Amino acid sequence: MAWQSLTEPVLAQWRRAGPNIRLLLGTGLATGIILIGLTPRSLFGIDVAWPFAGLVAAVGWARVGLSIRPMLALCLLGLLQDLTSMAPLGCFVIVNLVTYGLYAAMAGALDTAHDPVLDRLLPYLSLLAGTVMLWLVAYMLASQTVALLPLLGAWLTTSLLYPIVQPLLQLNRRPGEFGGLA
Amino acid sequence: MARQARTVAGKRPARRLFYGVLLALALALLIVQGAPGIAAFFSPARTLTGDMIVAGGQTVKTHKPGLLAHLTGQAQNEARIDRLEARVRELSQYELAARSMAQRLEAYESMLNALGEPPRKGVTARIVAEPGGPFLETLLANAGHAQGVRTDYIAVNEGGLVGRVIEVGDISSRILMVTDYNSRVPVLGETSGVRAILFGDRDGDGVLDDRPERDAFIPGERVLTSGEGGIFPRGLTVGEVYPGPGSGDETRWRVRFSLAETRGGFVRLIPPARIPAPEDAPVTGEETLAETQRSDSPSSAETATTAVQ
Repeated sequence: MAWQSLTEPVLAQWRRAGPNIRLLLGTGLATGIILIGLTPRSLFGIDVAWPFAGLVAAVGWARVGLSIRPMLALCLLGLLQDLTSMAPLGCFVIVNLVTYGLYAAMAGALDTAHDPVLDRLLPYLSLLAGTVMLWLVAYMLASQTVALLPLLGAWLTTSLLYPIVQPLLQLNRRPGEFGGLA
Repeated sequence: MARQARTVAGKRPARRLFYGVLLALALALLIVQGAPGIAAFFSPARTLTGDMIVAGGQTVKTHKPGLLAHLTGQAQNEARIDRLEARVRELSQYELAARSMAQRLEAYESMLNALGEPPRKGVTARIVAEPGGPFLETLLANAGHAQGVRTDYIAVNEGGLVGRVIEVGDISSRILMVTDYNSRVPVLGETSGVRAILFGDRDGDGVLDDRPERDAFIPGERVLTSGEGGIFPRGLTVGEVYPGPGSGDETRWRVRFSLAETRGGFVRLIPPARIPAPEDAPVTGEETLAETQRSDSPSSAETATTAVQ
């Protein structure tokens, strides 16, 4: 009961929060995950695959269709990922944007609001498509075959992260609704 | 209602257009970096990001232990661990130096009048970031231009060779790991003496290629840097050789990197063993070979002595 009295005002505040605040919070969250991912990540001598926070944000924000500000935020996140992972600038920007567009298009075309199975399956397929896209970009730019296993591990951890942070990536807007977010 | 629907329908193509423009811009950015000049233009952005990450990491690291940590003895334990780790790092440098000296001694015995390696100075830095991903395998260390680190400095840890500095910021430097495919290290077998070029493979181990002698390595022998190429000093431990599956009858020699065994979070950055070419460092005086021979010969010395008398 005491716990509820503590969390209720926060939750109420969150329910009232507009799309801009939610977008800022989501961007901050994704940035934090990217930066934490730069620290050494081995557990009992085994390297831990780190999730692609940009892809999670792309899928989370694409649920309500295309919007301009989430696209800009994804570009910024992509540039940060490019700079920190020594990728040529633009790689992660393209991957994030394609994943965003892909999920928005699929969600719009398949009417996921009325199909719970599709609603649950499509995000993971989009994350997989984004990871495959990243592998393709890396393969085209590198002079060797890029290892699949680490990327597969990263997709798994990305898929595990998605349901945890997805509530924080809801932009408080119905699909197709335009008000407030541009 | 109808008006709102018209507004939404009118904005949708604009969003799609914006999406297309962003994608095209990102693609253009990616393509123009194929030109080395343009890629170099973006390099300061990377070094700046590295500096910012290092500065952030140092802010987090320099926190003072709290009262609870003092009361429970945790602070004293941590201080003792820090001291011992520093001592181990220092001693490991001596160990590396001893191995290197043994190698050099062997070389000197076989080649009379050979000049030794130049003395190594360097700086110990903490690894503050290990960016993963499918692109370059790099590390970010918290020492840069301000600490005297320059491009091509060599990074070693307790296990041996870690990599080479490829980018230097003011307070940070980026190290291309020896495990990366793009890294090329001239090496030799400690016992067999077979030379090769080493590069990283996808599975985390190295591949030995381009062997001029075409001889076989001895499985289990240590691989050291050969000092050829003028960047990596001779005698740094790189790893251990093992035969891997190759194409046809030929064995593909692989290397298990020794840096992986002791990832202590610190690296020592030492200057490259670069010897300048004669044209880069010409003799400053006017002394010629004939003059040198004249001054070295006893008769000329006697003549000079007589003249003085």
